[in-house]
Amino acid sequence: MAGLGKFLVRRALTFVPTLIGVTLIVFIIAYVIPANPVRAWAGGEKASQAAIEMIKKEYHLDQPWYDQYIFLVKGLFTNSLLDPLNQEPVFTNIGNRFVVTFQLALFAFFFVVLIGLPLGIISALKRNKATDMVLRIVALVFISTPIYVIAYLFIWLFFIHWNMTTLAGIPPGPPHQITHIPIIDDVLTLNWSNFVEQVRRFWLPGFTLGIAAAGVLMRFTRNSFLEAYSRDSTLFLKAKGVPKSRLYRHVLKNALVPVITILALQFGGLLSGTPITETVFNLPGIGRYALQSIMYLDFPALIGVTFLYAIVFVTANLVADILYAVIDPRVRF
Amino acid sequence: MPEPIIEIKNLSVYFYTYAGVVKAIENVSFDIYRGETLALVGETGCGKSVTSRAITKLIESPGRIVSGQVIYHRDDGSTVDLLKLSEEEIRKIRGNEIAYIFQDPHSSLDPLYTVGYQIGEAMEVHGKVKNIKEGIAKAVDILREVLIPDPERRVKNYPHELSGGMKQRVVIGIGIANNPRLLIADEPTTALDVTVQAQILELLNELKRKYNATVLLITHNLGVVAETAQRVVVMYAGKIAEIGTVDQIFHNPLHPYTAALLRAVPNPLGKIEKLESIPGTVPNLITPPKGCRFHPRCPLAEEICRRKEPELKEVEPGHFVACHRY
Amino acid sequence: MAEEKVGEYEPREEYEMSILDRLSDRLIDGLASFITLFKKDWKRRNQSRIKEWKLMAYALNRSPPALLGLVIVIIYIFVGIFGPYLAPWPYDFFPVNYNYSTQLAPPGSTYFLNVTELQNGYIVHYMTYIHYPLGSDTYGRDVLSILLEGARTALVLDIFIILIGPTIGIILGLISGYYGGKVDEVIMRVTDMFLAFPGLILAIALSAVLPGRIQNFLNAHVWAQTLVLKLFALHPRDVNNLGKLLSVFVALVIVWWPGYARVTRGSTLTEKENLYVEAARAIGLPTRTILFRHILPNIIGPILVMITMDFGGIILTEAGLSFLGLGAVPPIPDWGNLINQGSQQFPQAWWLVAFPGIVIVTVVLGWNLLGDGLRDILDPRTRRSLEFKLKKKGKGGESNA
Ligand SMILES: Nc1ncnc2c1ncn2[C@@H]1O[C@H](COP(=O)(O)OP(=O)(O)O)[C@@H](O)[C@H]1O
Ligand code: SF4
Ligand SMILES: [Mg+2]
Repeated sequence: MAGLGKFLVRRALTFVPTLIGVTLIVFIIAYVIPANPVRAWAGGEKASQAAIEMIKKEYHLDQPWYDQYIFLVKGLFTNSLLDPLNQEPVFTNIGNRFVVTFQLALFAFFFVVLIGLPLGIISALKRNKATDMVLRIVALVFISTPIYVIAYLFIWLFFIHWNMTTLAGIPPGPPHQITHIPIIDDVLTLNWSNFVEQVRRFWLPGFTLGIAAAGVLMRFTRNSFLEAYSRDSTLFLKAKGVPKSRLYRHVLKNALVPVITILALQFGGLLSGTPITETVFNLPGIGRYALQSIMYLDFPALIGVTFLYAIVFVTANLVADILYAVIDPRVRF
Repeated sequence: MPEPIIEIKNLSVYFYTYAGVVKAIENVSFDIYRGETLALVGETGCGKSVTSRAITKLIESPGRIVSGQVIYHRDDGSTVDLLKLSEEEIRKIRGNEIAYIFQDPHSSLDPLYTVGYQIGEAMEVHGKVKNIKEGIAKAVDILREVLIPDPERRVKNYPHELSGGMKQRVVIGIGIANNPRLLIADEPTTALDVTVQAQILELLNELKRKYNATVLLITHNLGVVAETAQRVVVMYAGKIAEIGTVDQIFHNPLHPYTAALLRAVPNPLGKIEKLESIPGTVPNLITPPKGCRFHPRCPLAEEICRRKEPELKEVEPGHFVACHRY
Repeated sequence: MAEEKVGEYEPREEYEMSILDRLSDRLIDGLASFITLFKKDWKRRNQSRIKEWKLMAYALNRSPPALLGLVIVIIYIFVGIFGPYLAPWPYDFFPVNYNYSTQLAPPGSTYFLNVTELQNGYIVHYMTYIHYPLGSDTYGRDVLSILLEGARTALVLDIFIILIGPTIGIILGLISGYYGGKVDEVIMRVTDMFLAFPGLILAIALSAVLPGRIQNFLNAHVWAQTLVLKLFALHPRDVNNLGKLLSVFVALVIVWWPGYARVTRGSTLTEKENLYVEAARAIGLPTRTILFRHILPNIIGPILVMITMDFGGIILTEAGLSFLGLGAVPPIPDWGNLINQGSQQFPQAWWLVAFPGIVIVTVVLGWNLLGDGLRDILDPRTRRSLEFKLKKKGKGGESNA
C-alpha cells in the first residue's frame, strides 16, 4: 500500500504539466479574440476612446503576449479575472452554476451505468444471436442520436404529453448542506422530499445527456466481455470443468477492469454535452453560462468556464488512472 | 494386449472461417492406452492442439467437430462416446477425469485471482472440496507437490507475481488437482526458458509415476519424446502420418515425414549447422494438397501420391503408417 | 508456380457467392487494375493481398447492418454532391419577403408568392407558388431544399476535417511512436494538452473566438473566398458568413487530431518492434518509406474504423455547434441551424426539429453501422472468429473465376 501512495503522488505530479498545457491553450483562445469586444465592454459604439484604452490597460491587452499570459494565469488561479459585464471575479459568477452542471452529469452518469452496463453484458452473452444484433444496433442508434434531437422528442413526450417533469427554474437544495451538491446532500441527510424534487427536475435532462454515452458503454462492455471471453484463460477454465455461471463470473471480472476505467473517462466526457443539454432544458449551469457569455462577447467568462471544464475533465482522467491501478493486481505501482 | 482408455475414431474438425473452411484435422484415429505416455508430434499447425481439445469437445466457434467418435473407457469397464455427451456431462469429465495443461502459462491463468483460488476452484467445481476455502487450503499441498517453494505464501500470490516456470507449475497443479485418469499436456514447455523446460518435464514424469496417470504429451520436440514417451503419434497437416512405439519411430521411421522430423532434431553433441530443416511449410488447410498431404514436400513422392490418399496401414504389430510406399 | 499446381490441391470449399460478392470482386479487381496503371506489376505482386481484400468484402456482404450503413453513406455522399442541384428552391430565396404567411408554414402546405426581384439589373415581377412538402423555416424557405443543400455543407466540412485532422494526428503519432525519446515526449505533451478539454467545449470556445480572424483572412485572399464558395455551393453574396462557417472547420480540426495522434503512436510503438522494421532499417530504407509504406499499412485497420465513425461524429458536432448558433448561420443551409430555428418555436414548428433530426440521425447511424461492420472485419482477431454458414453451391456448374 505504500506503493500505492507513491504511485498517487507520481501520478498527481503529471497533473502539473497538463495543467500548464491547459492554461496555454486557454491563453491561445483568449489571444485570438478579436479586438472588437473591448469596444462592446466599454459600452458599444458610443464608447469613448479613453474608456477603451482603460479597459485595454486593465486586461493587459496593450502588453506583450507573455505579460498577457501571466496576467491570465494569475487571474485564473487567484480568481482575480474580472467579468467585464458586472466587474465580479469570473469564478464567483460561476460558483452555483457549476453545482447544476455537476448534478446534471451525475444524473446522466447514473443512466449511463444503468443502461450501458447490463445491455452490454447481455449483448455479449447473446453474441451473434438476434438479441445481440438488435442491441448492437440500439447502441449505435444511441450514439448517433444527438442530444438536441432526442431532447425535443423527450420534451414532447414527457413534458408536453405526460407532464412527468418540469422545465422551469431549479429546486433549491436541502437546507443542510454538506457537499453542496443537492442530490448528494439529500441522500446524506435523508431529505426525501427534496430528493424527489431534484429527481423530478433533473431526471430527463440527465437521461438525455446520458443516452449517447450509454451507447458507447454498451459497445465497450460488449467488446471487453468478448475479448475477455476469447482469452486462453477462459478456455483453460473450461478445460478445468468450470460451470458456465462460474466461467462468466471470471470473464465479467476481467471485462470490468477496462470498463471501470472507461466509466471514469465517460464522466468527464459527459461534460461535453452539458452546454446543449442545459440550453435545451433551461438549466442554469456553466455550459449555458458559457454560451450566454459568447453572445455578450464576455470572453473572460468563456475562458473561465473553459478552464473549469478542463480541470474537471483532467481530474476525471486522473481518477480513471488511479482506479485502474487499484483494481488491477497486475499494475505495479 | 494393453487396454485403451481413449479410442479416437475418424475425428474431423473444421473451422468455418471467413477465408474458407479450414480442415484442421481429418479422419484422425488413434488409441491412448491406460498408463502410457503417448506423444503427439508434428510441426506447428498440424492439428495437435485441435485434436487434443476435440477429445472433450473444447472446440469454439467458428470450429466444429464434424464427425468422429471419442470412446472413453471408464474405470468400471463401461464405455461412452464423449462427443455425444451433453455440455454438463462433459463438463464433469473435464478437469476431473481428463485434465489439461496448456502451452502458455502466462495466458492460461486468470490474472485477477490468486493461484490458490484457481487451484481450489478446480477441486470445488468437481465437488472434491466443500467450498473454496477448503480448496485454497488444499491448494497449499498441491503447490508443495509441484515443488513450489514456500507454498503457504505463494498460495496468496497473483499469477503476475510468479515466474513463467512457477506459473506452469501452478497450471500443472490445477491439472493434477483432481487426480485425473488422463492428463493432456499441450506443449507444456514450449513457452518457457530452456533451463526451466527440463525441470517441468522432470516434474511431469515424476507426477505421472506417482499417480500412475495416462499422459498425452503434445510436443514438436522429438528429443523430449525419446525421454518420456512409450508410443508416438506423428501428425502432418491434420492427418495421422505414423503411429508406433518410441523404438519403432526412432529406429525404423517409415513415413518420409517422420524421417525428416528426426533429421531436424537437434543433437546435443553435434553442431547446429548439421540440422536439416524440412523444406517447404505446412500447407494451407483450406486447400490442402490432394492425395497425400505431404507430397509437395516429400522427396519420395510418386505419381500415385498426388492422386490417391494413402490409408493408415499396420505394417508391423503396433506400427501404423499412411504412405503409399508401404 | 502456384498456377500450375492447382490440380494438386483440393478445391476450396466455396461459400455460396451472392450477387454482392461478385460485385465486390469486380470492384476490387477494378481497383487493382487501377493501381496497376500507376505501379507496374502491382496486381501480380499483390495477389494475396487482393485475395484478402475480396475475402474481407465477403465478410462485409454477410453483415446486413454494415450493408445498410454503406447504402446510407452512399446516399449521403450522393446528396452531398448533387443536393444543391436537386433542391427545388435556392437556399438564398426568402419567400417571407413576398408573402409573410410562408413563415413556418406546416408540411404539405402551398402558398402563392408575388415576387419582386432584381435580375441582371432589371426589376422583375412575377407570380409563383411554393409547395412545402416538409414545411418551411422562419424565412419561409422550403425545408426539403435546405436539407438537400445542407448535405453539401455537412459533406464538405466532414471530408475536409477528416482529411486534415486525422492526417495530422496520424503523422504526429507515427513520428512520436517511431522516434521515441524527446520528440515523443514533446508531441505527446502537446497532445495531452488538447485532450485535457472535453471535445465539444474546446470546439465551442474556438468557434466563438475564431470567426473574426478567419473572416479577415478570407477578405484579404480572394482565391480562398472563391474556393470556399465553390466548395459549399454558395452565392458570392454570402461571403461575409464564411468566417463563422470556417471557424467550425478550424475548431473541429483542432479538436480532432489529438485522438489520432495518441492511437497511432500506441500502435506504432508495438509495430516497430517487429523484425521487418528492423530489417527495413538495416537495409537503409528512408524513414519516410518505413513509416508510410511499412508501418502505416499494418496499423491502419483500427484507424480506418475510427475515421469511419468520426465521419458521423463530425456531422453530430458540426450540427450541434450550429444548433448553438455557432458556425453556419442563415442563409447558409445547415441541418443544425434548422433545428436551432425549430427549437425557438417548439413544439409549434415541430417539423424544423423532426425532419433535420431524422436526417442527422440516419446519416450518422449510417456511418456508425459501416464503421462497426468494418471493425469486425478489419480487426484480425474478430475477423478470424466470424463463423460462416456453408452452403453448397447449386449444380449450375459455374466456373469459379
Ligand atoms: N480458431 C481457429 N480458427 C481457424 N483456424 C484454426 C483455429 N484454431 C486452429 N485452426 C487451424 O487448425 C490447424 C491446426 O491448429 P493447431 O491444432 O493449433 O496446430 P498445432 O497445435 O499442431 O500447432 C491450423 O492450421 C490452424 O490454422
Ligand atoms: S504417400 Fe507419397 S508423398 Fe506421401 S509420404 Fe508417402 S511417398 Fe511421400
Ligand atoms: Mg498447438
